[in-house]
Amino acid sequence: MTSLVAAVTIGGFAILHAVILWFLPGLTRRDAYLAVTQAYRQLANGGWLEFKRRNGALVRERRLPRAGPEAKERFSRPLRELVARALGEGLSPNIVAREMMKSARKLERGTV
Amino acid sequence: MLRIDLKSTTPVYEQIANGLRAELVAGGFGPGEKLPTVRQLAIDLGVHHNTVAEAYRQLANEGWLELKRHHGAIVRERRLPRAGPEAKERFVRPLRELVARALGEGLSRDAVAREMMKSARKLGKGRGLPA
Repeated sequence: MTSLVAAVTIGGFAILHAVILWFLPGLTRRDAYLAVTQAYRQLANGGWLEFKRRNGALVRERRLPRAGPEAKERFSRPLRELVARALGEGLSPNIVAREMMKSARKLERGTV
Repeated sequence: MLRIDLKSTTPVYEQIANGLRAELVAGGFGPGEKLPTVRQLAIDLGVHHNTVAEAYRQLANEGWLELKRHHGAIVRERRLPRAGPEAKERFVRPLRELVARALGEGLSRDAVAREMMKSARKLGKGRGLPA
């Protein structure tokens, strides 16, 4: 989703479509089109994008919602699952820990 | 504890597989142990049994489970594979997306950073997965 937002702001639908086809050469043009529209719809539902006829998708000014009590759980549970997957794939706990620390520090410095 | 989020864009079978994998990595189930039957877990979670069966199949393909007819799913003794060069990327990219999603939902940078540091410290100290 983050990459999509970046791509949308940079170049709009046509570029994003081309980028997806380039990255995923196994996809047919139709599949790539459907994947992009689905991603756009999801981002629009999340308040990130606005569709305008003949203008495509525009990035919206979006106020951050107030995080509910379950928001932390919606982060920590997938995080735990992601870590489990990485360990299960053979990544060492040290590498996984280091990457999380790196991300955390970037967040604290405000560089993300 | 397995939980299903029906609002999530992640397919339910994948949520089940992710939750079970986390338990397996954390040592919640040991080698030789039997997992609940497909039907039982389906009833417990309120999902179709095919959904649970698909999750079990995924974990079996990853080498975590052995599926035996009439005997259910048994946890396998599993050697960790050697992580390929792309394994780190397969962790870092979803992590970045997960952080973006959390920030987009309004969680503060501090809260997200704290949560990651907590997990990282636990891992670094060899205490395994965060609870």
